[in-house]
Amino acid sequence: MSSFIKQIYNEQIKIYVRKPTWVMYFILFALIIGIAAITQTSGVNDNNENWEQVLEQDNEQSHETIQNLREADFSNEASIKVFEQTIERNNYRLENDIAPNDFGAWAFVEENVFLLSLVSLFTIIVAAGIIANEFKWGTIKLLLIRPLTRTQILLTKYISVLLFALWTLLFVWVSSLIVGMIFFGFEGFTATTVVNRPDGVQEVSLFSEVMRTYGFRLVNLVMMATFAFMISAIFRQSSLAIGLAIFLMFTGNTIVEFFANRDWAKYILFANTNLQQFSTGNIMFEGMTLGFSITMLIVYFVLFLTLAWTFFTKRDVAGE
Amino acid sequence: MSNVAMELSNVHKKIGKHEIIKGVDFSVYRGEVFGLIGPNGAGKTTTIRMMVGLLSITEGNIKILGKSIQKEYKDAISEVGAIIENPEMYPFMSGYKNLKHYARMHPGVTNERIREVIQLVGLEKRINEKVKRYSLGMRQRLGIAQALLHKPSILILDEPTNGLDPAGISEIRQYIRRLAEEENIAVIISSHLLSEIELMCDRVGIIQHGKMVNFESIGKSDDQDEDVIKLQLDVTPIDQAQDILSDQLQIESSVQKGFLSCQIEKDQVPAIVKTLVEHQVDVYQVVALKGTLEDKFFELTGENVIE
Repeated sequence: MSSFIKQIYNEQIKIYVRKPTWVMYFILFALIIGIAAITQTSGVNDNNENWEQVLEQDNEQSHETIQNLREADFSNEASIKVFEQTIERNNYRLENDIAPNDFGAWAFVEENVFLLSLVSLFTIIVAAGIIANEFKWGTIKLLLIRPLTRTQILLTKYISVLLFALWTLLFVWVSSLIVGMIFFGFEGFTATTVVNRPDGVQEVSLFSEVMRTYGFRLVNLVMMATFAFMISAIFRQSSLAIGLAIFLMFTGNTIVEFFANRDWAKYILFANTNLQQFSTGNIMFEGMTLGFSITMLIVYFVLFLTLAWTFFTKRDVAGE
Repeated sequence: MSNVAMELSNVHKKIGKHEIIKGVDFSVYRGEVFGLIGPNGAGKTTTIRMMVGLLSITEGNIKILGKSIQKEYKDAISEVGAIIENPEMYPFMSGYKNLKHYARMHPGVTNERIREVIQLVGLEKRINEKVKRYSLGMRQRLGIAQALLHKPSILILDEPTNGLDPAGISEIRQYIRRLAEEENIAVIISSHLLSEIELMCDRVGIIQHGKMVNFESIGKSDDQDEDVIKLQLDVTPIDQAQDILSDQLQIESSVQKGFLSCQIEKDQVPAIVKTLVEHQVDVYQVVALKGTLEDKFFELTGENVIE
């Protein structure tokens, strides 16, 4: 095994041997169990005989809400679109006689996608500390005087952050699936669901839809982790990196909305992190395409890593 | 093949407009223990950090076994084991896991080698405890162990005996001497404990205001061929002895703290003793005083003024 691979292993050990990391996984698992218990006691709307009636009622309510939104002083196109899409999906089910699924493990996994905000938060904490802590502990000196270049050290640390994000995401996914199976049963791999696509409503495999939902969230996760990692490399201080990254994570969409009427708003990172908008057709700014967003993401990604690399490799490691 | 382990040539370091190191030149050879001493702020730590690539070099070059630390970093640093300032380790891991961590960063460090270095520094009993429970002395030993893992040709130790008890200091000192003599390692030590340096080192470089002001060889035995020595005599009666010395041998002496002192050439010592005995003076003690490193140090550096 090369020193490089061994060093990634070293970095993984340094993440997973520490108690704060165990606490993160404990919190995630406790939440998954808790959500499952609450969902079950509050009663899940299992499939019933008259599902057609339920969907029609849902449609009526949606129409009313749209009406109200239109009459309101501010017209909120995005919200209206969400309700319109719900109606489209319901109609597709009614026309093609596709009954909604029983609430099962897949649905539970898909609902738990909101836990990825917590995974982002934990990844930010790990990314923020992975360089800054070495400076805090004073171990950076012994780490750097090895037959690995600073670029290699930086890269092993970055890869280690991404691996942490991946393992934690998988942990949420697998735990939710297993807990979901125990509490609600399993829909199977052949179950389907109805989704909106730019070219109309489609029936797709439930499994692949869950994978897509998680996959899209990965973009935001990686970008925020990279941002925190960059701050950690530049300022060598974890609290600043955590603070800034969390602030941006929670205010990202607000920032975009605030500048929404400016020409350059679509160049803001957070206008591009949600790639799912191209899948549902609910696009934030006119003229934005998947290609545009991916280009913007790559530009930001390269910028973050270049800054991190420049500061980490060029700067002196002086006494404290 | 040249015996030079580390070579600094015209090394400068500027931070901002302030020039901290103003052209340092020296070489350290295999098999010797080289001491780097100087007042606080003289540039010891800066020099050491440049040797291991933690600080960039503004001008000049540092070569380790002929390889530039700037241009051939990996090859150069492979030959170096070091403790820079305090031996800081990961507090949440055991001593053994810390060593494993560093061992993974060097190709070819076996588990046997890890056990060997643990034994060398005498940490067998506590190696599986977490480092946060270690005393400073134990951390220092673990620091030395990690520096030796990959059998480096050059060992750089910043304040190696800091935090050790007298028994530990003596043990480490002997160990460092053995590394230099038996394994032919070049050891570079920085310290402000001058007596410590004097006991351990073959050669000392004194650094002040970012310049090497002097090199001193420290004689381990009496192979120093100093011509003039300071002699201290414990004799009675002391007045009579003083007269005898000036009458018979034309040596001027003075009485200091109950001893008779004089500056003489080394080969005069037998004649002095003989003359005194012949004139019925009782001789209790004859001590040749060597100038200590401390004397030399203060003579060279004067007052410690940080620029």
